[in-house]
Amino acid sequence: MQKNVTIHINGQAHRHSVEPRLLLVHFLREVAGLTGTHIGCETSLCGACTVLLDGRAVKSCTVLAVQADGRSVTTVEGLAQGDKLHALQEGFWEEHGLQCGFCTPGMLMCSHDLLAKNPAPTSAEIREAINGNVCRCTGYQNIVAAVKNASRKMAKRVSARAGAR
Amino acid sequence: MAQNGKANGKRKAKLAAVWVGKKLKRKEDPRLIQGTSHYTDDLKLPRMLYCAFTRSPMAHAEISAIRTDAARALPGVVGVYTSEDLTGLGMVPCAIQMPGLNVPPHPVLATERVRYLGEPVAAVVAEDFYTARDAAEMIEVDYEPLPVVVNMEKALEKDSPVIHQHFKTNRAFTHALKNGDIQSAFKKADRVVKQRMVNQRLAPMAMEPRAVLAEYLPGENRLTVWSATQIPHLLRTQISVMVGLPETAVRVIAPEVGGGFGSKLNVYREEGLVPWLAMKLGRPVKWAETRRENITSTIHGRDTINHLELALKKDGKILGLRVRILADMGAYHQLLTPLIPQLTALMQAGCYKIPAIDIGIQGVFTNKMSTDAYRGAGRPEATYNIERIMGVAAHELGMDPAEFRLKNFPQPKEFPFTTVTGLVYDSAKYQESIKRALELSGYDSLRRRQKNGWKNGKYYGVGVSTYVEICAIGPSAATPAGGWESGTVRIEPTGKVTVLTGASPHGQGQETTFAQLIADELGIDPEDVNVIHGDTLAVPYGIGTFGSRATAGLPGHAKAENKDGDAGSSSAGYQASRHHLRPRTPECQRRQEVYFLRRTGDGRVHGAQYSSWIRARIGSHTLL
Repeated sequence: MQKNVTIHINGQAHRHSVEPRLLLVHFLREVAGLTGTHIGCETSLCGACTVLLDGRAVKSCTVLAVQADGRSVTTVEGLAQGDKLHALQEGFWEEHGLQCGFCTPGMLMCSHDLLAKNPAPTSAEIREAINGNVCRCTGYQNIVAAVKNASRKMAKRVSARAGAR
Repeated sequence: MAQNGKANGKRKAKLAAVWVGKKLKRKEDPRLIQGTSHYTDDLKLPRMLYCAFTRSPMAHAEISAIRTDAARALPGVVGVYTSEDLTGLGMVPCAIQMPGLNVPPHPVLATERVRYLGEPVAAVVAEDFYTARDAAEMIEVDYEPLPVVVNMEKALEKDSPVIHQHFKTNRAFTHALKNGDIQSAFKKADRVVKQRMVNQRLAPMAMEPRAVLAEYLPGENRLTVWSATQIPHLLRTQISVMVGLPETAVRVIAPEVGGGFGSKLNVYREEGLVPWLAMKLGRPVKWAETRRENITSTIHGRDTINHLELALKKDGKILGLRVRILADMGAYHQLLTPLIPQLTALMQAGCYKIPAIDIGIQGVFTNKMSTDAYRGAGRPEATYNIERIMGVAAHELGMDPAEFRLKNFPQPKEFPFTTVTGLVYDSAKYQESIKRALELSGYDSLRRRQKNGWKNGKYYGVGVSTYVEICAIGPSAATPAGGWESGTVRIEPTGKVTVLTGASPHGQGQETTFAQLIADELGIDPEDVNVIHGDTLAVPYGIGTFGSRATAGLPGHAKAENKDGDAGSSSAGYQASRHHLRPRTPECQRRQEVYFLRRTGDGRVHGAQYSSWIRARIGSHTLL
């Protein structure tokens, strides 16, 4: 049995006929060819596969592609605007928030969800928000610093825009 | 490049400090933060097939039947393989040779018996990976359960079931390291302190599970294997032996690798089978490990039981140390399995002056996944052993644990200091180091706080530990199996620089650190340095990244000397490695286009000796 789905990924519609059991992460990686989203455990434990579904962070290894039908997904490939990195990407780069990079896409997307809800989180709030995302290399300290760095940058940009108006 | 016009000596002195030590944004990060990097499982080749495994749900059992018909009949399945199908595929290798070592046959798929939970019994190849996994689950295996051996101490008892019957024992090896008069040490002792200690088993758990992709092109006789590995060249050698191709026909590529922690410093069943399948089927084949497979079938670490006895004088002076180690090998030997507890023996004296030592190790087979190198590989186990017995001894003597350690450090004037296990420590001032650590931690006030706490029913723990580690695993008397490293610095016609390194970073950021070192050496911007690693067709034979070795080893191996032979202590590389060659003005010898940095001197083995084995090879567009 196959089902037709249309999933809007990073602003682009992907129409495909898929098995109802196909996981969203496999749709992203195998069907849409977007391999920036990683699979670390397939059991919702590690968070490497985190993407935004209608703006909210979900672990795409435990969402079916058919559940995302007609909805919008943002992956790590959709964070930057052309050559302009997202403030979170800049933050991770500047604060050495990654080493092997495998958990990084999930960390970025999860932090994106946090900053949308809470633009100026404390360290404790950041740690709480990313507690479903596992990193084996960094020890988290620099990831927390990276999210704070992004938060500061975004606040500055918001106030600059407000000033311009 | 702007500084090129300045006087050579001045330029070098100034440049040495330009890039090394400077906070730089990593060169590898843009691809990692934008999702444009490629780990093995991200790769897809035309006509690629997917592989999945049927693994044992039992730790020890006879296989009485395997039924594959249903799996074979599933549309999309290309092949189903069990052990008897694997003609021409060799065993999983163990690189360790030692007298009396029992090396069990380690076939790629289980034959007759399974010996640990997760051992692969059958492999399926299919057009897509959902089908491959479905088919793997449709394979029916009949198991006759056998008694399971999980406890090392019981495994050595006479009535224990035996895992590899032809050895008639679960003992894999015995190994002894003795020095000094241990008997008289214990005879003269005022006090003997004993403790049993367990270094528990653990799973390394890199965030990226393992993955293997292989493609064979018969016209070129070229087998290309992409693998999540820390050791592409060593893997190439072993794959060529396993599949029966000349090593020159095998290319291994370690693309982006998502962490290793020692678990990818190995050669696994899948790294033999997936290439064999690709050759047999004439199509690329990929296997990506699930996390469940990773936990059950990728190597584990530690798992030793240790009995320590410390012979002491009343005043706290150590006379001798006796150590008995039981080391769990698991069911089979992986690449370095029997070596790991020997590293424990080598480091067992820690930072201390111990006149006599007697270490006995027994390797034991159990029905578990193999142990092997995991973060420190044997050396943290040694530190736990010695530091814990030091703590127990101080407690029993009623001495302060820091004071007790101070009493047993070698004096600064004794360096280079040869430990009782035969290692040479080139330099140290342990007394100063521990005093500084006590000062920084506010040790006295912590102790006061602890005492006051007791009065109010509050308990504070205060721990003291010291640590020294043998790292980098270069060629030396202490690590005869250790590796040199290779590096090439090539100046291209446009002036851009290509660095080829035998190291194989998987999160260490060596594309950046190596670029910094070379930029300082050549007086250019790190942006102009491209570091290539992990491709055996591009890079000269190397050893890989593990054991804190790659960045420490680089100063030698990828650094160009200038023509005056001034490559010594002023080099940024040596400063970065925090090792200095001795003597400090090494002699450079030009041999054709290869420059060897040679150590002259007393012939002793120094901690940094590996550096002196390195070479910097200058390509045809030389600046010299």
